[in-house]
Amino acid sequence: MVEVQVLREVVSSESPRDDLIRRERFPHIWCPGCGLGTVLKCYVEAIASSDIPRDKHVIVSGIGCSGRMAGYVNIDSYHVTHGRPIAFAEGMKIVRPDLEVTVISGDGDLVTIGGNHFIHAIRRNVDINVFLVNNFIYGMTGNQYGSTTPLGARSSTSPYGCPEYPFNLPLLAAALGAPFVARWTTLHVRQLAEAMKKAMKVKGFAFIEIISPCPVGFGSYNEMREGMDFIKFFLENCIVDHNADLNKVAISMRPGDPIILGNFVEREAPTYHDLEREVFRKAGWLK
Amino acid sequence: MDQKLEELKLLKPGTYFMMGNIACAEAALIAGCEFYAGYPITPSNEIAEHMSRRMPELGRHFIQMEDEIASAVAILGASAAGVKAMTATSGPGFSLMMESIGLAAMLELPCVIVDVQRAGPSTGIPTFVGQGDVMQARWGSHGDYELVAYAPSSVQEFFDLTIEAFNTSELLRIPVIVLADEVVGHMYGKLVVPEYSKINIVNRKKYTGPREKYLPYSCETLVPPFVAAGDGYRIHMTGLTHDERGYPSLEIDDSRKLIERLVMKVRKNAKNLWKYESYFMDDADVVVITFGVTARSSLEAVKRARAEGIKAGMLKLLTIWPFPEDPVRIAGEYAKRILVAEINMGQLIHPVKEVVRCPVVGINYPVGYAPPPEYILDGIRASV
Amino acid sequence: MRWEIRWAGFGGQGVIRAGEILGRAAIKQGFDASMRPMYGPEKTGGWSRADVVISDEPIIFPLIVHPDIIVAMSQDGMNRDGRSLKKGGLLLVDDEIVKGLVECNPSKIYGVRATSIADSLGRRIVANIVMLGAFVKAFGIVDPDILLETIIETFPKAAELNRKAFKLGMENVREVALKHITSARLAESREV
Repeated sequence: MVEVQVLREVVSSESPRDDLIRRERFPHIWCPGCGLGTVLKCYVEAIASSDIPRDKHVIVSGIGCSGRMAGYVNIDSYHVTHGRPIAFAEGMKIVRPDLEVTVISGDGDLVTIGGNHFIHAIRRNVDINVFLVNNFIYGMTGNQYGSTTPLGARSSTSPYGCPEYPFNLPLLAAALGAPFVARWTTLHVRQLAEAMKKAMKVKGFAFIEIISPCPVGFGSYNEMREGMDFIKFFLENCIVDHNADLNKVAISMRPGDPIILGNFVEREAPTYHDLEREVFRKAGWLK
Repeated sequence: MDQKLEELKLLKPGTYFMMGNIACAEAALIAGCEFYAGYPITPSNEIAEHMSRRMPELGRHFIQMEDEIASAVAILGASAAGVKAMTATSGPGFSLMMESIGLAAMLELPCVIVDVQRAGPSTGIPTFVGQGDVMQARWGSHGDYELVAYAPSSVQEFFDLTIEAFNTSELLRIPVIVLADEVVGHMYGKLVVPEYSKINIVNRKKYTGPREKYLPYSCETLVPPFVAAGDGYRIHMTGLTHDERGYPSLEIDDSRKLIERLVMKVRKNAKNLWKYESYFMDDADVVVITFGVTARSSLEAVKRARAEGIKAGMLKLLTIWPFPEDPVRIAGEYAKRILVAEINMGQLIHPVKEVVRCPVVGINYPVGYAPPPEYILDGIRASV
Repeated sequence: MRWEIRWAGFGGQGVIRAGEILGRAAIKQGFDASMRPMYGPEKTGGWSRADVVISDEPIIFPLIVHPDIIVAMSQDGMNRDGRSLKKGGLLLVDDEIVKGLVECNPSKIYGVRATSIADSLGRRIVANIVMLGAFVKAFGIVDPDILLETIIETFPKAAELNRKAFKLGMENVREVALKHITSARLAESREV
């Protein structure tokens, strides 16, 4: 058992990243113990320390708790329909390759209802970043199970335990050829922010699965009612292995069954932009 | 679109014999379409095929998406980035695009959606004509919004109305639908491309003032000025009901102001948006109201009816939505009977009935086929 | 004056292309024209039809119910579309392929062995151009020079081949007689 010491710092009314946050929209809608605040923090850190001018950064979100991310970042931000932020981001990036387009949304949004767009955007290698916040459940709509809910986990629509296998997302993204594939939890703040910074530099589709606590939703159905239950779980069960065999990184959320983290894939591949330029050459537009 | 049309490799002014779908694609290029996303579907394929060849020649973007849902969303992403964007589809794909029509209305992102109607419901007859999407075009997405739908009945009109669709979408920041049909899409016909100086091209009004003063969804005007991603205004757009800043709101006042504006920007401009043509209306006792390919059958029928001594007239609607109430109402004041001819079991007849007092009868033709003039003529004869 | 012409054949014969060229030539000559292509679900080998309307007045109704002229490039085209011919209408066939009339009573029948002629030029694909040559010789309507010019503009890389095909079509078209055939014979002819 790992002992966790909770530090109670003085809550400051100001943050060094205030200008990147839409303060006027606070308090945010996220529940106590939720990991999304940490994701927001990591994202604005990554923007602030990226070499890309701030006004070239664009965030696109879908529907759900994570979908509200776009509303809190003080950059060009688009909050679109359920499952569609990747397709929206593709259209935007293709016509404006100079923009750094990042999709931050949830598992239900991006790989359940939006699964088709997810796989095809990776296959095309469109140069966008997709930070998928995985809390294993549909939080906002009332804790229904989804395509990342672990086998046997309970939810409002799986009272007897979820009878479906969940996605192994790093394996899926890697198999589709994503040049950058990582997974971190919201406990691994530094590594997550670093991975986001890397993702912004990557040419092509950069994917980070962010494992995030959901004590009020997933937790209340699966004996993890406090944010700290998740943090402890992460501390006890996470293993960092950048070279992990991705066939073996599926998440069960059972104690003793590790959650494998790392920057699993870092490689180069021609992007959709590169390949489209070849089309422009053949069509006579580019020399 | 900083370049002049003359400097671009566009369809030159002149007379052509061209397929409707290709005329639509060439019109989109002239209108300044810089992004096309679509998914293969008959009978609209020629638009995508032509765009896939022509867009890269102009350094513009063509992409074939994984489905129509993605196509309709991708054009909104491109539109949010400030460019003119379009997609084209037919019935089954049009159904999948409904979600994004609502999003386009809510975010006020200009875009053009071409629906080359085919026989339905469901898969129907992919290569055969239909006019069953009239109501879906207007009411297909959930919630309260208005949009504009144009219905061409010839290759020339398909060309002209495609340019008009871009102009209207840019002017009002709304999704605009070109409700073509399989015959008009696949048919070859005469096309006259006018001198470029005679072609009106509208670009969305952009905001250029200071950031602090920008209210993206200001209710001061019906159509607030636009800023694109990357312009530095740090805009927030959301499909949630939002206030003038674009932030989600649960307030009754914000909801009322937003929805009223979304609806009123079309309603208050309706008179300018109505396009229609009248034939033999001066003394018509019986008036055929129709659109698309059915207007071609109907006009022939009306001419033959006149030759038989029947005082028949015709109103061809080029704008279907917003519904051209005034011309239809006036037709109803003078006519003894109105006939509504369409390739479906009765859709356009409903708004007609809403605005006229005289008896209204449908001339409905089995989905899949364009009615021959004799069929419409029989309907006219039966009505007198 | 309004002419309604229905080209019928199977996919791959260039039926729709022929209709398009004919319509374009008519437009060049100052007529109004329309052409409606129709085809079965198969991309090649299925049925194929091009309905061409040419008129010296603006065309109101662009479609055809009972054509003045049918051009049949296959027996199947005859079987499918022959019955739509207007009473007293005209027929042009590839008389080596179309063996008989099915439910149609043309006032005159013209024949040209378009497929054989195309084969003799080494490219069966120009059978439709042979047919266009025969068409203009038999029926006029458009100016042969304008029609040939339109063909060459459409296929600039095969100008000589098409010029020959067009000329041979014009030279070899003649009036022919065709018997009415029954459904038994019809089935037989389909196998050819």
